[in-house]
Formats: sequence, structure tokens, C-alpha cells
Amino acid sequence: MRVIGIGSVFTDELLVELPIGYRFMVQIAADSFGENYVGKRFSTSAQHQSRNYRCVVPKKPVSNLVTQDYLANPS
Amino acid sequence: MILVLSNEAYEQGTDPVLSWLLHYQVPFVKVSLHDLVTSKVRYHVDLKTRDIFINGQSVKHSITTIWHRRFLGAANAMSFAAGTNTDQLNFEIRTELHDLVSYLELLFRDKTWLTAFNRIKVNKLEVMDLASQAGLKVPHTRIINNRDEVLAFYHELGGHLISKPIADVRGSYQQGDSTHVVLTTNLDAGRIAALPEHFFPSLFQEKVAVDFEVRVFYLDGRFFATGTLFSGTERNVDKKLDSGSERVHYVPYQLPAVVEEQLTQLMRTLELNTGSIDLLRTVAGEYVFIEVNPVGQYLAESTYCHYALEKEIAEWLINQEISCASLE
Repeated sequence: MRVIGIGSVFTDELLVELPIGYRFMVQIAADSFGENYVGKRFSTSAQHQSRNYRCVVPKKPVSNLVTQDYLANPS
Repeated sequence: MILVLSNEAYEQGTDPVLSWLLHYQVPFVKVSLHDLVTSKVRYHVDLKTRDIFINGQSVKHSITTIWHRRFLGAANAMSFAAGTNTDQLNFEIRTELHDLVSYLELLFRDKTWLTAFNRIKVNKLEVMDLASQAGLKVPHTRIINNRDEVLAFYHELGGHLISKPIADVRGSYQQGDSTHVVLTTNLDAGRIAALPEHFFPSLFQEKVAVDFEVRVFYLDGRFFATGTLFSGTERNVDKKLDSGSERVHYVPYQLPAVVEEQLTQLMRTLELNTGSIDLLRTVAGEYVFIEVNPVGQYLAESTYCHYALEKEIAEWLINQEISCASLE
């Protein structure tokens, strides 16, 4: 997720009437925002009764905890 | 048969469970709100017999277990093209649909539900209140509508203040090549000073000194906890911004028994048999409850921690079917 900055899509006039969180919206590059599914391919699956089926690539389930996290800092 | 109430659009948490149901060769039918309003499936609801017939076949007795996940949310996307009286028309049609769905829920209320129909949406404020009553520690939280009281709260908390939405309805806003989202926000004196004197009531909360976060997938009394550890000390105030970082490491985690007991009591009070629970473990070793999402996403934790939660959910649904069959 590539964060571009903090800002708002709303005008100052409207922000006055909104909860304060809308003043500090996180601006993210659209193609890196996972829920946009940019570049992801969808199909259909009669078995899954789905017209928006995404075949997630099977992967070996491994923790992404890396060995170096367990090693003592030499310093 | 298992009835799956889900979304017409892609929903990452649904299909992996269906894959396991297919693997076990257990019959299921998936229904979305879209299915109810389009003409793709012929059905009628008979109030005299209190039954629903799909393609002429009664389903009242064939369905025994219902997995309810992200079903009603689709109603928000259903609207007619903008024009004269569109707002009123949208309101009336959504209300028609809501009342239809509510009646269907009444017909199926005696079935076994994984997330009861009326428990799918929780109130974050009420949940924190109940969590506190269950003995869980919760962050000091206030709803405030003016700058002066925000500033006073900020000083009261020693400058450790965040803000986040009251309701869990986070969406996204597209503008050009950017997506804007409202997440948890750090507040400092400068940001507070820039606020207007009065504003829409907003949630302000103590910023907890976090050692690491714990995401718990709860399934009918069982806990699948994941610790989110960081390499280094830099982190965002909202963990969603760190989810893809190589500095984040997801590891299986064992909660203390007392915390599990408190969470069990909370889930029973909320009448939830599943949910994704967010906790913070403080640098002082305490566990602070943040929220529970009845239909939270779970695939990342499932994969990284080898929990195979999609298989666990499928097997839970199948076990309900077996229990129902043995009682007949």
C-alpha cells in the first residue's frame, strides 16, 4: 500500500459539518489499495455459485517471521 | 443443506469456505441480496404455509444451517439512476427489500446460524461498554463535539490521543489515481488547534502504548489468536497501513486464560458465535480490548499462522448439519 499523504476529498465548507476524521483522510495510490483489486482477475465458478470468483493462487502457508528476528543483535 | 448468505460481489472470506464444502461434498446454496431482486431465480414466499419455494421446491425443511456473512451490505449499493424523486424511490425500495428480508429471517430463525441475522452489526460504543463490564480493559474514550474539550482530553491523557470513526463503516473515496480512506488518526496539539470550535460529534480515544497487536478469530468458544510483531519500533497508528510491510510478522499467539474467559463472556453477551477481535498488548503486559467485527477478514492470519480457518468454518457448518441429522 503506497501512502501518498494526508488530506481530504471534501471542501472546507463541508468538512465543518463532518466528523474530524474526514480532515485527515489517508491518500493511497489507487492501484496499491487492496480493496480496489486493481490488476486482479475474476471469473465465475458454478460450483461456488459465484459470478465474481477469484482463484487465489495456492501458496504454502509459512509464517513470514524471519530468522533474523530471533538472532541476537551482535552489537 | 447449508444456506450461505453472502455478497454478489467478490468477498474474500466466503469462497475459501465453499471450497472446503465442495471438498467434503456437502450440499449448500449461496444466496445474495442481488439474487432476491433479480429474475435469475424463480421463487415465492407463502405466508400461509410460512415457507419459501425456489423453482417450485420448498426449502424450509431442507435448510438446517445458515452461514450469514456480508449479506445486507449490498443494499447500500442498490439505487436507481439519479433523477427526480430518486432519493424517495431508493428509500422506499430499500425499505421493501428490508421488510422482505426481515420476514425471511423470521421464517428461518429456528435454524442454526453462524452469526445470527440481527447480530451482524455491532455498535462499537456499546461493545466497549460491555467489554469493560466483562472485565476487559478498554481505552479511555470520549465522544466530543468541540475543540476545547478535545484539548482538555489531550492534556489529560498526556498528549496520547487518537481519533477514529464511531461506526465500523469504513469505505473508500476515489479521486483520480488516489483512494482516500478514514483510518485511525494521531492527534497532536497542532492538529487540535486547527479544528473548528464546534464539529460533528467524533470519537476520541487514549492512544495505548502498544507492544504488539493481537487479532483473534473466535469460533464458537475457540480462539485462534495471531500476534502482529514488528521489526523495529516504527509503525503506523493504524495497522492497516502496515499490513503489507516486510517489517510485520504474524505469529500464532496464546492468550492468557483469563482474557479468553473475559472474551467468551463478552461474545456470549453480544450473542455472537464468531467474530474477529482486536486486542492491544501494552508494553506493561496488559491486554486492551479495541473492537470485535462479526464478519472480519481472516485469511491473512489463517495463512500465516497455519490455522486453516476456512476449513475450521466449513467443518463447523458441517458439524451442525450432522447434529441436526442425528436429532431427526
